[in-house]
Amino acid sequence: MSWLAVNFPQLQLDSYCQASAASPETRAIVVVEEQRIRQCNAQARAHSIRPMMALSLASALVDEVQLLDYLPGFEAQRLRELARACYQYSADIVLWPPCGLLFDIAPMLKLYGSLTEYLANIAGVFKAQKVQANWALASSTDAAKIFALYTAEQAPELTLFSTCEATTKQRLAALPVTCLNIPAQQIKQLESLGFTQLGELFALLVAHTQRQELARRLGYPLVAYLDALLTSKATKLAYFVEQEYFEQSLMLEQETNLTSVLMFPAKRLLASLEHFLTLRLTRAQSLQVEVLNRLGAVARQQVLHSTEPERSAAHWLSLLRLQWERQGLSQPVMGLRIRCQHTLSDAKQNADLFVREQGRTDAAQLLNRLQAKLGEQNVQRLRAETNHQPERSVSYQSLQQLVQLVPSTLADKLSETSSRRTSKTLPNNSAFTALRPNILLQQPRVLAEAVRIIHGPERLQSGWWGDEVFCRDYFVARNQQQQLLWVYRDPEQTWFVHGLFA
Amino acid sequence: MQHDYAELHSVSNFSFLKAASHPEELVIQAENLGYRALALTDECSVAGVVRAYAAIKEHQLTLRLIVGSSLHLEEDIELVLLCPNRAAYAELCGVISLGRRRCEKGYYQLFQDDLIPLEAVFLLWKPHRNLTKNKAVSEWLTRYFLGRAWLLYERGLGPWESLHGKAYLAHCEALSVAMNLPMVCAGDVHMHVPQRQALKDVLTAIRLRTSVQALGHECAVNCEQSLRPITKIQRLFSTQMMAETIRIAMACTFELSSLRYEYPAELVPAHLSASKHLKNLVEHGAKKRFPQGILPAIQAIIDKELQLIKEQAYEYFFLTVHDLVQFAKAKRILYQGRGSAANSVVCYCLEITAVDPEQIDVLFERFISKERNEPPDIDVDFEHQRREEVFQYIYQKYGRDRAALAATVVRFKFRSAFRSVGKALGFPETQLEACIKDVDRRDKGKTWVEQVRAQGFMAESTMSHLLISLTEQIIGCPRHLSQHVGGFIISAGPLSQLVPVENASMAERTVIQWDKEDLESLGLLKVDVLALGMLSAIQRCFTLIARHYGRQLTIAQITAMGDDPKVYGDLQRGDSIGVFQVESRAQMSMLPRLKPACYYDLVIQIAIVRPGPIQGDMVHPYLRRREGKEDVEYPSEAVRAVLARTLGVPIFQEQVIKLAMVAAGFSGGEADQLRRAMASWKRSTRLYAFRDKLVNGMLERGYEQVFAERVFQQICGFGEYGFPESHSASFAVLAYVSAWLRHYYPAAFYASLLNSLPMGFYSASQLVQDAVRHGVQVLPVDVNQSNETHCLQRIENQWCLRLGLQQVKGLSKIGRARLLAKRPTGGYQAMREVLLSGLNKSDLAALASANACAQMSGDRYQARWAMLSDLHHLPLFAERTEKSVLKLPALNDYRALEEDYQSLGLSLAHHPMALLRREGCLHKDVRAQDLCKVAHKGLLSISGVVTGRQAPGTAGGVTFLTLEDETGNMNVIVWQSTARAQKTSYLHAKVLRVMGILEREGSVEHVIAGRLEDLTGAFSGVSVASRDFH
Repeated sequence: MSWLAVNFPQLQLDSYCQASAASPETRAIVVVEEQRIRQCNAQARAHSIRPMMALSLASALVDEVQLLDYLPGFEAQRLRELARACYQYSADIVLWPPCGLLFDIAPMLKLYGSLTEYLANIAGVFKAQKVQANWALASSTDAAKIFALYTAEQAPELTLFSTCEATTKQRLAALPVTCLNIPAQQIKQLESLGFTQLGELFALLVAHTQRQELARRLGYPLVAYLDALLTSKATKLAYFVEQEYFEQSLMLEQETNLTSVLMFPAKRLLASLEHFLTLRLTRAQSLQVEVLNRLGAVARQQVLHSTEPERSAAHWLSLLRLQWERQGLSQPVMGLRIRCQHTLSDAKQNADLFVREQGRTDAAQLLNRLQAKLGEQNVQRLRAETNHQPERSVSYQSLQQLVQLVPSTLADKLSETSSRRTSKTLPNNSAFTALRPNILLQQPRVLAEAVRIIHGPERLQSGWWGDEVFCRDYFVARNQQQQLLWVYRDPEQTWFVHGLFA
Repeated sequence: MQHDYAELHSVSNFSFLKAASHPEELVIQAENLGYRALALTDECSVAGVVRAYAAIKEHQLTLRLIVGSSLHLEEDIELVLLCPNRAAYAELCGVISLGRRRCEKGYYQLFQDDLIPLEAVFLLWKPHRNLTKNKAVSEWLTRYFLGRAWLLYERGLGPWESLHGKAYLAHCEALSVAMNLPMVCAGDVHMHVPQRQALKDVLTAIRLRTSVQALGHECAVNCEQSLRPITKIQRLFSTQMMAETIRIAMACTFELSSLRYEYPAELVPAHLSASKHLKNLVEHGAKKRFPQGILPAIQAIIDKELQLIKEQAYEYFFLTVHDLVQFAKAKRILYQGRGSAANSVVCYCLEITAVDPEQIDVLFERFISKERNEPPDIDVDFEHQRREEVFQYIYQKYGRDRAALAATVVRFKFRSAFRSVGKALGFPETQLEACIKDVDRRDKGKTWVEQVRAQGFMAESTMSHLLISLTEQIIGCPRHLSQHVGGFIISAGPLSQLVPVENASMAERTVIQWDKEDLESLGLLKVDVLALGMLSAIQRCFTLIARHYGRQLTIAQITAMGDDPKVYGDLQRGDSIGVFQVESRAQMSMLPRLKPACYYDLVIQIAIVRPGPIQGDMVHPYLRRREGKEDVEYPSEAVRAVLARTLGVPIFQEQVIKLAMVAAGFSGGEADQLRRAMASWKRSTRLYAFRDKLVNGMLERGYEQVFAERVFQQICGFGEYGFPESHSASFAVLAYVSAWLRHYYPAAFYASLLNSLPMGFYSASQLVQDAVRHGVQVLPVDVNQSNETHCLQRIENQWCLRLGLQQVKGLSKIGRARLLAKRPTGGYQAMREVLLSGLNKSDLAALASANACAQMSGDRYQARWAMLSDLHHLPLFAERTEKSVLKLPALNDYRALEEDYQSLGLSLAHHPMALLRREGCLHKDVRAQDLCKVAHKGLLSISGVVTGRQAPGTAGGVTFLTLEDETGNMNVIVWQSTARAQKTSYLHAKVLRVMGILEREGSVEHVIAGRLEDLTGAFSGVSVASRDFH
């Protein structure tokens, strides 16, 4: 067994530097987690900042340092992208979270012939992705991991090492006990017994009685772990597997710039999509549609959304038709690709076999068609906001946003605090118990006519923390045409009309 | 010009995190607007009323203050309670205490039924917005509170009101007529001016733990909850309602000044008056204190004191304190009175204080004076580990409802303010922390505002301006009440009729809602029951000496022996580690200069090494005159009488007061006001008010302008940092006693100090090293020889210090007890016996780490290995002595040292520096004991473990480092520029090499640091905690 372990010490940081590749890095940048440094770039290191250092100490060492919060989700995603990229060159990859990969080399060497070429390919991937990598070879995964973290080498030099058990054991023997991947308490225990190097522990594993003594005092799992380090037994590992998703493309015999012609391949692709989804009992909520040009490259990419998850080909086809009718084709195309990456499993539906809905579109379908016809951004919902300023007390949201979970609001927090015995707060002024006009003008306009005040004032003053400071006294007024207006007066005594009561 | 309006519902920032103005601001603004009266009605609290009252007195406002409280009952009823008279006030305090005592700190719970017994308070009820609820409540009000209840109508001009306001008003009016409840208006005031809206929103955000942007409807909809001008009020409310406010206000005649405090009467025997009883006690005590007879001068002072006490009716106060110290005596708890009480001969006779008034110049007016019209202030220190017994005695004797601790108001300071406001404004935490860290609050040159701006913290954005301005506003706002360190109030009747009592966060402790300042403003008495570590140490030492040397000692005996030149010899050499008050780095460098030779020199020594005299430039003149390098001149006999004993340099607060009296003609009371101005934080303004009086007074009496100005400068200079002589005198007694014990019974002394930790300036490690240097043999922790505490053991005709089991980190109390209980008479013979003694794994591990089983098992590794084996539990194997076949690695000196420090906090083997020196890492570095061989201004390099980093605010950015090596301590001075340039080494080196220049003044040596080199890497693992930036 031969294993290659690669560790990416600065995975998140490398991704940022990649984004702003234009300017060379002159500042010290660090990634921080809970007031400790997790990753630091070269400039930071030059100022003696090291990982695991406290943030307060680091900021005392250098005057200006840019702080980034640690994003474990982002790193996990990057790791998967790297694995996906390496998948082209190596088949058996194991994810080693939070920022490492393990490669089973033995099967690949048969294909590549030499270790050097294999390593060069993998190295190329990392170079293209611009990530720093620490490499290590060993006969077992645990040993390889330890080497990658503590005695990493450069890629070309790796070829000097053989992955046989004896070499691994020899290299491990020189390492300190702190390298072991065991609970910190156990490491402390080993140190407290005087063990400093792994070699001392390995020496005890040879004779049976000594092995027993060690196991009795420190536990059999530890002994088992030490054994696993040295031998290259096959262990059960979860290999990296690409997610299954639908992707098919069809090319036309001739170029065309008529959308009606594209409907034929669309029909076929959507039919196989329906088949794909039916087999898996899943539904799709969005599709990526790419029209390809003569060379097979993507000419335009679109996303089709459905409010409800659907697998019916007819449904998607009608949405697609509507969208193409609106947009048309700007250049001649010759192919179509449809990809569906996210699917949702079927919800149980008790469908009545005998009910036929004729000519009735339900609300969801209507929304779909409106969105397809008018454009996604132009179909919106209203939402009430808890803001004192009238024009901000209501907001517009695209339909997609509503699908996300509403985060815990202040109301939830308040209700949980009042369930304890707090000092009671006075009832708050909810917008729903406020006198508001049916029609609110987008922009208040200056009052230009004579009016009679019949109700008021209502004083609204807030927003001091932003640019939207407002200070208004609102009144209800009747004008010459007997319309009821919602007017206000600002501190400079200028009157504005803000709305109309129907 | 006063208008016909009284504000009956206002809330100050003592309703924590709800309102945005101080009580003082509210009353001043109300006066400015022409209100006739203001009711301060904090939520279930009267914590702010005293400040409002004090502000009215100070600024001589005509505003009437009404005391009250707003309550939100559990049945969702809003009430404002007002106090028309003393009885109502007692009822209010009772109700507040009831509500608060039911809940944990910070909350309250009250029901309708709780209010039914109230017969004197006025109730203002605000009808609910849900109109259906109101009928029942109004019926309840008319049934129980007819004639004392009103319907409270308030207008906030918010959205709800614009929609429902008319209907609500109609409903209220109808209800008022139907139920015969008159209507009255109020403002629901939460801030004194509308501009405080931002602060109010920020406080709400802090309270709800969110940001202002996310507050939504919780933030204030407008600024109407502020004190409004009369014209606006007249437009908002009817004249009848406004007139009703005046009617209510006029009916409320209760004044806080009428609060008088009755002392517990059980202290006086039935047939005697308090005065007579006190006189008897004083006479009895005087005979004991002055066995040779009482000097006429002293007798005169006693008479004068007793007369004043009688006039001011303070007898009970003294009797209460006398009772406390008698309890302490009976329980053999060491105590000592200090503070201004040490100026009183009566206190000396009552055995409250221990400073002989013949020895110091007593200034009685410092203690009580007619002009002060304030109660005296007696602080009594007790052994810190036994103070809880005194507390429990007080609670038991007087009961939980008659005795309670005073509160302390915890306010927002810069750090908490900046952090809280920043989070409320939505700044990321990491950014705020980074900014706070770099602000040095002791930097006198730059305010924190300037420092924050200088960091380029944020560009000129609105938010950064808001952050800075709101932080400035919030600094000083109360956050919550906490319990005072030891200030007790004890009364005759239930305390809750005087002031509300609430739960503290400690279990079984109750706190009143007023703090020290409030009590002073109202003239209520408080006894300070404080703790002092050195008293515990001295008591322990006496016990050890009695047990091992057979000699019974007391503090009085030691002081009676007179000034011992040997003891003063130690002090003159600066050999004072462990001696009370004179052991700090600064004191140790002063001792060889001042060379104290008698008790009074010690009194001066303690008082002079403080920022005050140093800043006031008193130290150098004094030293020069003492050494005879300067002549001492007095401009008059009166001044000579005051300053003679300090060679013409004013060092004590009392001297300043006396000077003001004799040289500038201040009366006793005026002089005391001067002292208070010196001590208060507003001293700069208040003090200057005295300048003219002082200078002119002196000029009138024929002193020179130069002299008068100089005296005033000295006053300004040492103002708040000056020590009272009496204070210093009390401390000097303890300092001398500790030095004496250290000289004659060092083993017992160090053992006692170690047993009394934490206290003092030095760590266990440093104390042990000092003990060794003084010839005490220190023996390690051993399972067979050690007791729980450090004790003395006789080895070869000498008493040695045996370290106790308590020094072992990680050994639980139960473990210690078990180990000792199961220890056979001959001691444990083998590891197996220790393992069978029933200790758990972590306790065993702790023992192994401390190498406590060294006699049995060899080194620590072997001990641990043996402990991990579980064979001893199996009966078949119990007899077999298990010999391990394993060869464990040997323990080297470094590891041993590391384990010593980790487990015990000290090492008896090698000093880390000795090890490094042995390895040859420190070839040219000079050792502490060899510093004397280096010439003044000579170049040298030294190295040691960093055991102390101090950057006193008054030292102008200079840091004092203390380096310790195997032969002693060395002082290093690091200038700010050096520190800045070599931040890394300076900030976190544990072992440091310093290359610099030696400076010698007399026998005091310092090294001025040039280059710093971090040697921590050469010795990783030394975990000596450095006393940083104390």
